[in-house]
Amino acid sequence: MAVFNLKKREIECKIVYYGPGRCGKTTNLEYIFKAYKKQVEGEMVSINTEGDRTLFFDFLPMELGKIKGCDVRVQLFTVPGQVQYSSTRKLVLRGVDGIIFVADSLEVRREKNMLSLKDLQQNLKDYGLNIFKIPMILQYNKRDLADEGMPIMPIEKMEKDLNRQLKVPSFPGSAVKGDGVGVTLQECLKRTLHSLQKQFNWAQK
Amino acid sequence: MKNNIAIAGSLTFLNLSEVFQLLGSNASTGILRIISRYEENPGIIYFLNGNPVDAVCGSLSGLDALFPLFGWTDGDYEFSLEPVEKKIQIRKNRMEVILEGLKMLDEGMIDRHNPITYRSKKISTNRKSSADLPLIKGPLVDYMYVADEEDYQDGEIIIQQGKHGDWSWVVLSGIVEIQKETPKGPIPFLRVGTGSFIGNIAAYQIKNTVRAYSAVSVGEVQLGVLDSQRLSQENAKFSHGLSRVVISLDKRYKQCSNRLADQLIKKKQSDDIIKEKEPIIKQGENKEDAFLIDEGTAFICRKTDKGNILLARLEDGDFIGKIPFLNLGHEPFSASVYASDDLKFKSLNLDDLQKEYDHLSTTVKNMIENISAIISTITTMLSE
Repeated sequence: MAVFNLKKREIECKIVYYGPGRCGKTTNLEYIFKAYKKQVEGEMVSINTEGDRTLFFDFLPMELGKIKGCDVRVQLFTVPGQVQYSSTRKLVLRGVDGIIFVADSLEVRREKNMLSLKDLQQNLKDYGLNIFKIPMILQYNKRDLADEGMPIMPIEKMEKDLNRQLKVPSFPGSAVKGDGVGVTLQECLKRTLHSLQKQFNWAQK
Repeated sequence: MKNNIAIAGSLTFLNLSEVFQLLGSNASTGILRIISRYEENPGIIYFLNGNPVDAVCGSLSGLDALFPLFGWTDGDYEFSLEPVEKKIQIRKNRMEVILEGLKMLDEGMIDRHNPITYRSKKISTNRKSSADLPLIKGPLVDYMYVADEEDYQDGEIIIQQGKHGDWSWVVLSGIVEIQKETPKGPIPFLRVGTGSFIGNIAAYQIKNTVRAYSAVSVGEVQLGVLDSQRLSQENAKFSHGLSRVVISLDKRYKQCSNRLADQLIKKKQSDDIIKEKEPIIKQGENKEDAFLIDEGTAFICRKTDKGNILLARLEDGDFIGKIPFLNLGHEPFSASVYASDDLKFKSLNLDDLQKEYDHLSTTVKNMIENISAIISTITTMLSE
């Protein structure tokens, strides 16, 4: 649910990075904050939560143009992964327009990925949203760990685990190095704005 | 001052973080007041261009005053458009304040202010300890009705089940454990805290009541003895309908807590009475009326995953149906009513009842509300 701000002639929409604890959501956002400094508006807000950090900042995607003459402002959020932060997670997901699900490539985290995806589906359902309909992108993070000899899952296996039913675009990534971070965000922005445009055109008829 | 209120409502519908976001996206300047019945002082937050710049609550100010307000989940807010000429005490961006506030709530660093709290399951590893029993608090105590104060040490018995007594108390501080005497010894089933009442609500209607449960102090407890003369005078003016409702409420409390005690000691409960019968009020029905029983028996049952659970067995003089100011978690939304073949009843005039309720003193209203909260909690425990 994007918010129209008539005073500023802006459309505010929300993209949330979701995923199990320590999968690299925060690293993704930190990279974006540094690498796309020009498009970031205001400060990065960081809340220390146990074993994780919850980040938030405003992002102005310039290259994607305007919707009905309004600028688009995107709020980028990460959710705290730990189970106990249910109010925080719920607030962050409220009114979400697009989701980037960051999955951990480490073999030992296989179950955590699937549980988190299920949790996402339930939380969306509580808000009356359907995981199959909301714009969503998968990112298979920590691909670089293979170089260090850590056991990681092949992409095909992760696709099968997580994306068999969703069938959404997915990208390998290495948030620490910045690989795949930009392309994941761009694709999600494109899909989110496309879906918003579709909603508004439909409303006009 | 009241005429420039731009938005007002209940925090149970839009919580504080949502109100913040609304004011934020509107870049509003003005004063947000929130009030809770569980707090003496209102919370006041000053907004400048959509961002909170200062807050006051009691003797606290700035962020120290603001964060605890996120725990006020049951209350009202109003936002008035006023010029704010405050020195800026809070420099955090509103989203940061919201996330930080909710984080503190999730971590248990700030208290939730609503009538019923459950200790988080994590802490309670020992089933026998009563710390994982629900704790029921009441709204602010009205000292007009407190005649005297009494202090109790840990483990003192305040009232004993089975003994006669008409006195009632309100908990001023500390926690009191409510127990049922069973063949297997006393079983705690509930804890009550500040603002909750101990005693029989019906004691001012019918004299010489018998205590339905025992109450034991946990740690140091301070109780306020209720002014029974004042309460009796007010009770004497009750209409027949209200008087029946109050007496019947006490009965429901007794029966539900007996059921719970039976369940806790795993005594078999029979609910054959209601087999092969059609309910007269079906669970989930949207019925807006209530009745007084003249003859026969009515059974209040809740349908759960485990089958039908009998909550109460009611007879002549008891009420059934929906009383607008009671929230028991019983019929018509959450329980069915079955009737014996000879059941006769007459309908209650709910408009008159509601009007009478509105004019009751705060303490009597609090007592009624407190007993409803307790019944609703016991009912939930029964069906789990």
